[in-house]
Amino acid sequence: MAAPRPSVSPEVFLDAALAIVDEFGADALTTRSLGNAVGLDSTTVYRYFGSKDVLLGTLFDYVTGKVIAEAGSDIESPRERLVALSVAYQKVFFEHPSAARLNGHMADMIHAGRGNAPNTMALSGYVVGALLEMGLAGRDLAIAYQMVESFIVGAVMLESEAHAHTMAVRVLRYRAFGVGTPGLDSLTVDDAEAMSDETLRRGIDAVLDAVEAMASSGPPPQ
Amino acid sequence: MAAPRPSVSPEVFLDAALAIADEFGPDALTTRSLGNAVGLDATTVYRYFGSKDVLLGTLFDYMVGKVVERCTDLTGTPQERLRAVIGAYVEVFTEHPNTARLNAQMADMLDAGHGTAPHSARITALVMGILREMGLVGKNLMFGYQLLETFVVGAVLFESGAHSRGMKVRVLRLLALGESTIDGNPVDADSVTAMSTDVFWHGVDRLIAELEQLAD
Repeated sequence: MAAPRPSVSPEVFLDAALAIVDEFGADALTTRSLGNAVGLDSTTVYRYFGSKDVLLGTLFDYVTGKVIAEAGSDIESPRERLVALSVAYQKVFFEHPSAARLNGHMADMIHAGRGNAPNTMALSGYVVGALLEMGLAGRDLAIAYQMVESFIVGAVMLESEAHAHTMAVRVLRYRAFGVGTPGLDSLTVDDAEAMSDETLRRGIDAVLDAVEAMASSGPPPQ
Repeated sequence: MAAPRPSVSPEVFLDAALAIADEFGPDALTTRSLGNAVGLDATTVYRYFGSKDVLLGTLFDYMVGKVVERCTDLTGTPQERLRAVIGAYVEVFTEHPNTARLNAQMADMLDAGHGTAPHSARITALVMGILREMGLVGKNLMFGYQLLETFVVGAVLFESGAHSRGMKVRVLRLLALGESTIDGNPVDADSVTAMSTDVFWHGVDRLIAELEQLAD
């Protein structure tokens, strides 16, 4: 990272990287393919990002930035704010399903101290802020954060993959298990997507119910 | 797949593949590394599985088979049995965190019609049977199944990433939040792992309560 940076802005790099990941998947994103897309050689791209983990981790953080923009921050109720954030998270990663699994690279990047993830930090701040307003503190705050993260980010990772496969496997399964159930043995891709949306809505509610129950049960046991 | 199969059983292949994925991650699993492990050349391995997606997808289904094996003698209420199945799923993928994300390759394999996933079909049938006993039918049955799959498999997928990395980022984050202890223990990989387990079951409780509402 000590070498002078080329005259291509980070956004140009990241938009080009996202276009490659969207069309061909994360495995197709290399310093070479990205260099071709922005008209620079792969050595220059490598010099810019340092490693593939940094490129993929930075791209994940870039897409996370789109979530914050989508969610907005002017909702008064902290619970409603978390619902809006979850819905925005889902919407952005369904538009870019191949990017949803790149969080592992971001974790590697941060852990190795090779890059930072400002949008992800902002997102954590947004969630922690809402949880504090809901009355969570100390260990309960950490647990509630973790629960929102594990279940919602995890669910979006899994659902984004079903979206990437255009629900094909799921439609087959519903048809197989729904034999004799009106509506299920002829389920379409659109129906499966609608069920996926409803699943996420109800699951997010269930997780936030758990968070609220923790908030109302008083100070955390020591 | 039309060529005669070599005299190595699927289990030997899959155990060798699992050992490679456990130690070096699924990216290290190639027809060459697997061939080296079982003493066959890469072409023979390729002929056996046909493609890397089939190898990885079959490995994921093999792991699900290990989950099913741990669910043969379930007793208790439907809710208790459901927790036992979920517990077995968590156990297997916590022991082998690098394999949790291979469900994508299994989906690719099934979507392309390149292989079958018999164990995954068995666990689906097992869970659907329990949900039926809980009184879920028709669309609510599909919906309840989907709710469990999306959130439980999703959470395990996400948690396995944290486990593969020894909970390091999570420890850093808790320290950044100003928490120096968890339940009187210092914030480290062990205490964060215990907390993550606690979090997971909190979430599962709430999902099961949601399922009960879907019953007729």
